[in-house]
Amino acid sequence: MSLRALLIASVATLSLAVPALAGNAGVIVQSGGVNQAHVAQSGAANTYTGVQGGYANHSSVLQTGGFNNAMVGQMGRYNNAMVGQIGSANRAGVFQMGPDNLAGIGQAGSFNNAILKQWP
Amino acid sequence: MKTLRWAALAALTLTSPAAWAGDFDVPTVSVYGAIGVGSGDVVIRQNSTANFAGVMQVGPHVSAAIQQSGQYNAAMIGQIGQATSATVLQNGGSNNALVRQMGRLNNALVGQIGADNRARVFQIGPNNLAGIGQAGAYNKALLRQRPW
Repeated sequence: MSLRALLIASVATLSLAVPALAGNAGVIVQSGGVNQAHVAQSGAANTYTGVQGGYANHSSVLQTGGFNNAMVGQMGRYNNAMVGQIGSANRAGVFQMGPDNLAGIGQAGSFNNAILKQWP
Repeated sequence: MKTLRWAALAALTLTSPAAWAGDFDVPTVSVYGAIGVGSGDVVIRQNSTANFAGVMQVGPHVSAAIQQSGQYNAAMIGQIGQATSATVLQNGGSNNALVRQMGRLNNALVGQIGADNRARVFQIGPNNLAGIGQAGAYNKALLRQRPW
């Protein structure tokens, strides 16, 4: 195989791989207290962004497949966030502002990335 | 005497429903349903208590929008096709919204303001987008997305 054919094949594979990896996207925004958000995404290249404001909010995210992104932001107290990701090259970010909050991130696979930041 | 007895009985029969209705404040009940195949848009607006709206659409490039104000509302949208759009806006307490989409390039948007709201969005297929916004306490949101 010549270098030119290899280059064309690589470009064609790359162009086909992008739509194949095109996943779903979800956004949940909740304001108030005692809210619940449950998200389950399967497949590759999914994206979820969740924001909760208030007290005693609960957020759970489960993503199966690779190349998923999940970001959860909570403002207030007594909030808890759980993120689970199965697959490779996943990214999870949990940001909590307020006291008495709880966060958990579980990732199974390679090349995963997790960020957890909590402020009082 | 017999005439008086019949008159009393008739008066009692006629006054009882009004009294019961006044005590329990019977809400206005309205049901709305729409089924579409092919292409087209559906828009439903309701502004009273105890409403229900249901929309089922099959085909590409269809859209459905439901707007409800008041209490005890429920909304349901089902879409099969690609590039469909579903919008539910509810303002009040004890609302319930369910959106199911099957296909690609679909988008669903649910907005709820009030207490005890429930929003559920299910999408099957790639390249879908879902957004849920809730304001108030004791809200619940469920989002499930998966490819084919």
